[in-house]
Amino acid sequence: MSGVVMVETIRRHVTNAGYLAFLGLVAIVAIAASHFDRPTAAWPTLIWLLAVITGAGPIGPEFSSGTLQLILVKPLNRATYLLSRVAGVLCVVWLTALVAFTCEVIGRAFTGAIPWQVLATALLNSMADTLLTVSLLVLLGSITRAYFNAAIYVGTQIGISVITGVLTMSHRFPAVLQAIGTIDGNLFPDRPLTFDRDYLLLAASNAAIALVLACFAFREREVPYGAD
Amino acid sequence: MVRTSGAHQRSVPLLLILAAAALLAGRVASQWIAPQVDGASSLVHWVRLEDAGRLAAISNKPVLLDFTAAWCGPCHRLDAEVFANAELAREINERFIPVRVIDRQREDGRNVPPVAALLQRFTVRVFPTVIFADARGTELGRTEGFGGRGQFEKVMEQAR
Repeated sequence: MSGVVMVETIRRHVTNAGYLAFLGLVAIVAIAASHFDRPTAAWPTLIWLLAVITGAGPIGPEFSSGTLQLILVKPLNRATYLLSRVAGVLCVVWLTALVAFTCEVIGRAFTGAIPWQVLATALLNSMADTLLTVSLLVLLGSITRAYFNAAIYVGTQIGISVITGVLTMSHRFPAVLQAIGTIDGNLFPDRPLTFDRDYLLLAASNAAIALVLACFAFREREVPYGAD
Repeated sequence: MVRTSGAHQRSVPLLLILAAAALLAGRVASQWIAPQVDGASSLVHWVRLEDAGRLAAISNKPVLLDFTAAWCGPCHRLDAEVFANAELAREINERFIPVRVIDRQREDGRNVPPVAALLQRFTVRVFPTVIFADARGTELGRTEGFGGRGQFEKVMEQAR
């Protein structure tokens, strides 16, 4: 892991006006939602959205803008660079999740008892969810250009939902439906409401596999001079 | 095209590969040792779905519908902490007609029609969902996910 790459990734995000505005929005939503009966009603979705936005940044867009070529002039291991970028992005996303968690705790402290177990579980599940999301986006980014990674990620998710809906209504091709369900369950697992060891293991192992594949894809990739 | 430097720039991330292998092994082991949702460890006397309506009408007891799935981790916790608890199981057996509804969508690609109809009728979105209903099917209360034994007892108390 390269500390310089990681710190620079974090610095570029936390000094960005757009990120700071998003952080403020998350904090407001978390405080507002602390008045709801159901804990963590809104912010985990916003954290996932931030993971998609920031996770789409490494490799693919850098390849298209020409910055990757400049970075790789330095004697930096490609896998180290990729993993450091992922670590930096995850630090930013998890920091935002922590802010949301803290805001909800503060909000609930004024309204009554704090459901620590539920809130901590939501934070943990959100962290696992964003780990998988960022890893998949980086894998897609390592084999595509620009922001095609985000397009493929969101498009696949929508496509799976549509195909599942059509096949379920048709009551045909159960084997296809089962196969799609397995893909869906591995790439886009539903975030559970409670502590679920199997979910955490699934998210962590699939994220690790995605990162290994991303490292191998990035390792073999030719990086031309200049931008697209 | 440019190859910016030597082989060290393209070395394989061995530690990451080992971590991925370890996590994958842990995941496989976890699924292997996970208990099956078959009621074997449960102390609740589950009634067949087709008999539930008739038994509820005869006994005038509400029905407890446990919507569960084999792959669902929190469902196993609900089993272990509630349905395998002697005191709670006795109360459930005395006061309710308990029915276990196992979702097989992920395993088989579809559910049998009675299960699919119940899932749709009660708008079950997460597992586990436990619904308390009277003999006519009017919902008296529900718990979604597993929020601990205390939460379950609270809803069960309200559904009496």
